[in-house]
Order: sequence, then structure tokens, then C-alpha cells
Amino acid sequence: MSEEVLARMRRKFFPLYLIGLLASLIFLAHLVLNYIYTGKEQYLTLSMLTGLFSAYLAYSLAKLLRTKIPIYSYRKVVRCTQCGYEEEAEAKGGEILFENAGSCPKCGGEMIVQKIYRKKQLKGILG
Amino acid sequence: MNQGSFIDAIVWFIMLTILFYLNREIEIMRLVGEIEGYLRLYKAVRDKALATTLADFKSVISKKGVEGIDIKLVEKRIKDLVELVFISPTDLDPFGIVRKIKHLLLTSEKTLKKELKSFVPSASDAEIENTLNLLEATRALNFIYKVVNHIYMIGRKFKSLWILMQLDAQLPFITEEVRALEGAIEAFSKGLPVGDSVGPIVAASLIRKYCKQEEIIEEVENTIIAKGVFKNRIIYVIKAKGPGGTVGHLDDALEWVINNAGRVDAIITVDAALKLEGEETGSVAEGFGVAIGGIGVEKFNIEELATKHNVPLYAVLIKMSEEEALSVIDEKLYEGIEKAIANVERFIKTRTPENGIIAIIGVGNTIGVAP
Repeated sequence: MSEEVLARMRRKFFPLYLIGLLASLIFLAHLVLNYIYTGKEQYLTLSMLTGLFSAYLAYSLAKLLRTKIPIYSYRKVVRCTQCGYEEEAEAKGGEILFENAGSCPKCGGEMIVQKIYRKKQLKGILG
Repeated sequence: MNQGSFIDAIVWFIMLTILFYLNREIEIMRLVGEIEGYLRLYKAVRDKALATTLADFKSVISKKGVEGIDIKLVEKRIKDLVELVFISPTDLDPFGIVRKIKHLLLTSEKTLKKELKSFVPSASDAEIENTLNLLEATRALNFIYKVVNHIYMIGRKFKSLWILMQLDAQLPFITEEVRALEGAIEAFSKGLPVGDSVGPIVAASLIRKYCKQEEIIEEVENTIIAKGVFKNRIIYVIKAKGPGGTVGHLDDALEWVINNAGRVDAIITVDAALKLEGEETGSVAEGFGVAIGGIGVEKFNIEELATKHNVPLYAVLIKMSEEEALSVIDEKLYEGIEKAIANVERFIKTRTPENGIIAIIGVGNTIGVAP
């Protein structure tokens, strides 16, 4: 949940970075064209500065898009105490480790909850 | 060569001063922005924890079909309990302080359980214990948020760069703790085992392997003692009574074992330990001493008993991060549990005499672990 809050906070910057990057790239193209057609050095100096700013924005945007948030799911493994047959399913809550989990579909033996664990999956920041 | 006038020098000096001042102000603004972001995060987590605790207790009430209960009063009491304070005994004269802390812990635990039970008399011990665990995690989150907010506000009030910088430097560690407690909220509300349950899981596995059902007794409140035989040695396995979220009274149970068995030849404690960055989750370390965390009351009492009866103390530690310790157990930790069981068996075979009596203590919260 804290990861989601952080992602939500960072996601707000996405349009800002995108618009900023597009604007600076257009401005950069304008400066470069001006330099090519006029040959004035101040356009070159300004285009270098704008280029650096565009690179910074592109880097920030890439960093934002690379951010992954973990999503957790809960699993349980039930095992037959006689034949060792195993089944894995989602743990919905309230499961108890080493408690009886019915009878084995293969041999009819006692099945117990052998493992309960959380599984991590990564999701992109934009969902 | 023109070296500039006196006026030029003054202008430069003023400009430099302004630049230094602006630099400091910008740095303060950056720190304030960063800390405020984290504070929003801590508040969101705290509020969600409180909402989960309330929802969990309300679901216990509705499940048990309690009628005529004032839900608003229950909500108010739960909110009051989140602000609860434990006042440590004075250590001006430290003699006997452990006894005093134990007394405080036992009486406060009993009182809180009794109060929650008074709302839902038909609730099981496990349900009450899980709600208490939720309350404890919410209280910790509330405390963290309040303290961080306090330091931030003081720093901002006095425009102190140093206070803000110190707080900012601590934020990664605080956030780690907040994430751990957030994981605990999820685990306790679902009643599933947490990373800290590895000790009780090792103990429960040993009970299943070597002890008979009829040899499991509860002589000490919330704690079970199981007697079994392994390689011609008598083993007493001690763990908190599951599946409620409790840590039991392991020191009292060990005292009972020593008094009833007459002697103990070795005490083996198994517990979760915090790993350092770079260490593998689920790796196992062995050691000497009592592997037990918390305030230190049980550790002190077990050490006292071991010293009094001249019993060697062996420890098995399963490594994990703080977040993993309080969140629902990670799959990797089951490998650590297998290794820890093998270590305990090896200790018994190689370090204890034949026909010896060995006490094995599975330390930790036994939420979601039977028996």
C-alpha cells in the first residue's frame, strides 16, 4: 500500500515531465534550425543548454517509467501426509499451518496445510 | 590593467552572500518537500491501519452476532487504545527492574484482552489476540507518524537545515519500519503466519515429527509444552499456543520443564534474526546464547535459569529483513526452516548426552501456526 501511495505521488509528475520534454525538444529543434540558417553562435550556446535540460527530463521520465511496484498475493500448499500429493491454491485468510485440509483426492489420506506464503509480482507505475 | 573598483568588490560580495543564502533556502525547500512526501505516506499507512483494525474488530462483532452493542463506543475505545502509552519502570535503581517490566507487560496484556473481550464475550482467544496485534502495529505506526511530524515541524518552525537534514537522513530506515508494520497489518488482519513465525513453525514441525498428541500440554498460559523422544534423548518442545497471534510465556514454560523433568542438559532456541543488506533471506546461522528479541525480560529469565542450572545455551537463527519478519511469510523462509530443523537435530545428536533431556524453544509470534 505504501508503494502504491508513493507510485501515486510519482505518477503526478508523469504529464509534467512529458509536456516539459516535448516542449524542450521543440524549442531545441527551433534553436538548431536558427543556428543552421543564421550561423549565430548564441543559438548554438542556447541549444546546448536546452539539450542538457531535455536530457535531464528524458532521464527523469525513463526513471519514472522504470519504477515497479510490488503486488502481493497469498498462496497455500496442502499436502497429503500419506502419499505426498500436493495442491496449491490461493490463501484467502484464516488458513492455519499444519491444520487438517480435508482428504486426499488420490489416496483418501489426511491433507494438511504445509505452506502458506506471499508471492510478489511487479507492476509498472502506470498500471 | 583594470582591477575593478571598491564598489565592484562590494557588489560581488553582496551577490555571493545572496547566492549562499538562496542556496540554503533552496536546500531547505527541497528537504521540506521530500519530508512532506514521506509524511503523507506515513499518514496514509497509519490511517489505513486504523481503518483495518476497526473493520477487523467490527467483523468479529458481526460474526459472533453480538446484539445491542454501541459501535460508536467501540470505535472510540479502539481509537483511544491506539494512543495508549506504556510507562517503563524507573531505572534509577535497576535492581529488580526485569520483574517490574514483566509485571507491567503481563498486567497490561491481561487488562487489554479483558477489555476487548468485554465487547465480544463470545470471541475466541485467537480473534482477541489478532485484534491486539493489529492494535499494537497501528499504535506503532501512529507513534512513528507523530514523532516524524513533530521533528519536521520543529525543523520548519526554526528553519533549521540541520534538524531537517538529520530527519531526512533517517527517513529510509523509518520507511523500512513503516513498510514492515504495514505488512504486519495485512498479515494480522488475515490471520496468516508472518516471517517472525519461523521459530514456532520449527517447533511445530518438531512436535509433528517426534511428539504424540497426548503429550502436548498447556501448563503455562498461551504456551504449549510437548514431550517427545529423539535419538534416545527426551525432548521438550516449547512454543506459543497457536493459531492466535501470541508469543507466549517461554521463560515460565522452561522453568516448568526444569522443575518437572528435574534437569535439562541443553536449551536450544530457534528464532528469526534481522539480516544485513546483502545477506540471503532464509540463510541460517548458529550460535551460543538465547535467541530471543523483544524487551529482554524472557531472555534475562532464560539466561538466569540456564546459569543457575549450568545448562549450555545453543541458538539457531533464520535471517530475514524487518519487513519480511512482520509480513506474511516469504516462500524462501521455508528453506531456512528446513535447515534450522536439521541444525536442531544435529545439535541434539552431537552436543547432548544419550538419555539427556533437551528443551527446544521456538521463539516468535505463532499467528496462523498450529498447535
